[in-house]
Amino acid sequence: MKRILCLMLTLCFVLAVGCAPAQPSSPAAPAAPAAPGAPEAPASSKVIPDEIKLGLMSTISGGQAIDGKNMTDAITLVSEELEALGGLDVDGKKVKISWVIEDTEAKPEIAVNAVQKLIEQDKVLAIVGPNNSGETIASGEISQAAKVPQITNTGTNIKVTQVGDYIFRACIIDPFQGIVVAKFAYDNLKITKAAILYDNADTYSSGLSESFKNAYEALGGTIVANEAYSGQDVKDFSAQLTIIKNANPEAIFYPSHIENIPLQLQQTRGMGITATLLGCDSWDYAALPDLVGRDVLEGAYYVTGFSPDADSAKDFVKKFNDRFGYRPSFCSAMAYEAAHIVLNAIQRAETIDGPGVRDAMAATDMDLPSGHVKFDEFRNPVKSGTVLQVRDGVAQYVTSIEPD
Amino acid sequence: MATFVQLLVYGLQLGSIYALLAIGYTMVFGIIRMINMAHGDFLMMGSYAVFFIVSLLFADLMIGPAVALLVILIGSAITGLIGVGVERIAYKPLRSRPKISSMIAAIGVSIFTQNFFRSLPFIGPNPRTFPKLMEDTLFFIGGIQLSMMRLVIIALSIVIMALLYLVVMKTKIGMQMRTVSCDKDASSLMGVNINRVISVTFFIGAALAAISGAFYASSYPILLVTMGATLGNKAFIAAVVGGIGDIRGAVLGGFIMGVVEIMISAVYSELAYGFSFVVLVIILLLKPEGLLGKPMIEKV
Repeated sequence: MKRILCLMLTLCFVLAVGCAPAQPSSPAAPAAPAAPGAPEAPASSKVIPDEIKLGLMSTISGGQAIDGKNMTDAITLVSEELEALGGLDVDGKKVKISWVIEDTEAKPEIAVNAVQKLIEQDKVLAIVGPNNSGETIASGEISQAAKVPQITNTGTNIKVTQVGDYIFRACIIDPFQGIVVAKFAYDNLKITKAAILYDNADTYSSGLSESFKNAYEALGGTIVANEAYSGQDVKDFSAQLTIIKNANPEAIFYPSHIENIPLQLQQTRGMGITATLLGCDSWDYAALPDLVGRDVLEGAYYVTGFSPDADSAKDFVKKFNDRFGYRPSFCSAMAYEAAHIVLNAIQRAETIDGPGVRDAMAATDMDLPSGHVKFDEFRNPVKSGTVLQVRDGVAQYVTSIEPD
Repeated sequence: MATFVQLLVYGLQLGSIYALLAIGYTMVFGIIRMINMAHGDFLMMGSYAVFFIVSLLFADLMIGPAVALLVILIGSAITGLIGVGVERIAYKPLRSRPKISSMIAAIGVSIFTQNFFRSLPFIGPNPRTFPKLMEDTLFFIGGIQLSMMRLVIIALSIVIMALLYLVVMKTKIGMQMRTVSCDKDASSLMGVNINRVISVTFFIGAALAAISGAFYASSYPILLVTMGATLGNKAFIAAVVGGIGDIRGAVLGGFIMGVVEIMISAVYSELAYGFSFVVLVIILLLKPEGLLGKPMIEKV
């Protein structure tokens, strides 16, 4: 017994010593392979390298591989735009931007490995992604410690940017999305009885359901059923939907990832429930009507931070559609914007390193496909939420609801 | 009461899918004492096979029950042959090695097939919508909503399981299977072709997985290359709860698993998933060899 205890203590000690230096070891990392004595450096002491490496973290494989494809396509578009220009123009010098892509497999622990590789091995200047809140929170701790700015495209959970001042996001936040859906349902649709079906194993889904519930009840509505399921592997929702059906709501809110939405909606209609369907930004996937079935999805509403029909987005949507043959999803649009926020910050940064780019990112003030973007003090973008309705299999713009 | 019966119907339907899948686990284990962790992926292959046959031959036509059954049988035959091939390539060379080697090989096969199918350009990472094989009609009996599709699936599963039981108990190949499961070496001495019996077992197991895949995809019409993983695990647990090695046990375990999962989700959805496993653990604590399993005598 003593020997085991002794062994375990030794093990703990070894682990503690082994882990401790891993974090502070890389503050100098983001300097990138700097070109020695780049001659045409302007008056300031700003050193401009020939090449800058940026990281992209995304769910390339696993259940959310669709999002991964949406993101890598967006980044491909960004790099092709840059190639056409001969590189990123930083104070008159064309800098080559290269992307290092890492898979998170939609798992926080894999995301931690990926971010360590990006920072310590690839020495990236900044990181775009990952697309989920859970992985962004986990990997953000490491970027924060290493002073590498990181910007998630669709990590909507409020806690993401609370990790530290190096963590940004390109999308609107969960509480705000939940509030927009609640306001829209109560004020615009005049619905007073709503139900929720959410994934309690997922930060995104449970965060949204909670903010919706609080906002909706504060407005005066009643949540008649609040049903959970555990994890993306659940495919049968008949038990939860039976309870929801018996509670007889006028609308049902489905704050889940895209993989589960088709089955949830099909099973809802399959049980003869006729309530209005309400969704969130994960629904914003061009093929959703075909995946769910057009008759099932007809008339459903969802909230997103990006409308492809907005004037500001037309140019981007056309370019994306011409290149990849499908309309950009919310995930693609936000990855595109996140990349541009980083590139724009590199152009404005006083020094090309982590802190310099971070300061420039915090001062972002630019026009992007979703509209004009600025950051608030918590590094969340200030922009309005868009409500879309699916009519004849196409999501159409209904209204915008301003942040308050 | 109406709600209870309603949930029971949902549970039985889910259970019939688990049961068909669990049979494959149990048969392979019964015959070569190996846990085929890649069994769930046969379900995935089967549903993709049916998907491609239907979408290539019939496009968007509603094909009706008779043709649908034929398509499912063809799809399951294809999957059955893949199953035989997998056994020949990946498991047979390891047959004389420790059991753990073939189990690791099976995990490898599972990861490989999922990623290989994903890398095929005509499959890819995006989910596909499984076509409707027959028009589903809803009808009510005393406040309970029944769906034709669900009833057909439950009925067909029971018919298939009964047929399989007849094959194992009444035919020559079935008898050979039973002898191999009792004692491989002795039955080989009696002139039983072991390789052939194992191939037939894998064929039947994979074909049943494919049928359950088609049924599963008809009820939950989203196809993904990873769809077999969790289902495979649940079916494995169902097989163990029923008593691994026993076909009737697999069927019973599958139905219990489905009904328990649905019932507990209805009572308290927050804990459902975890709690349904607690029930299964309790069953195993009370009867470690599974509900219908015989206590195994370890031979030295």
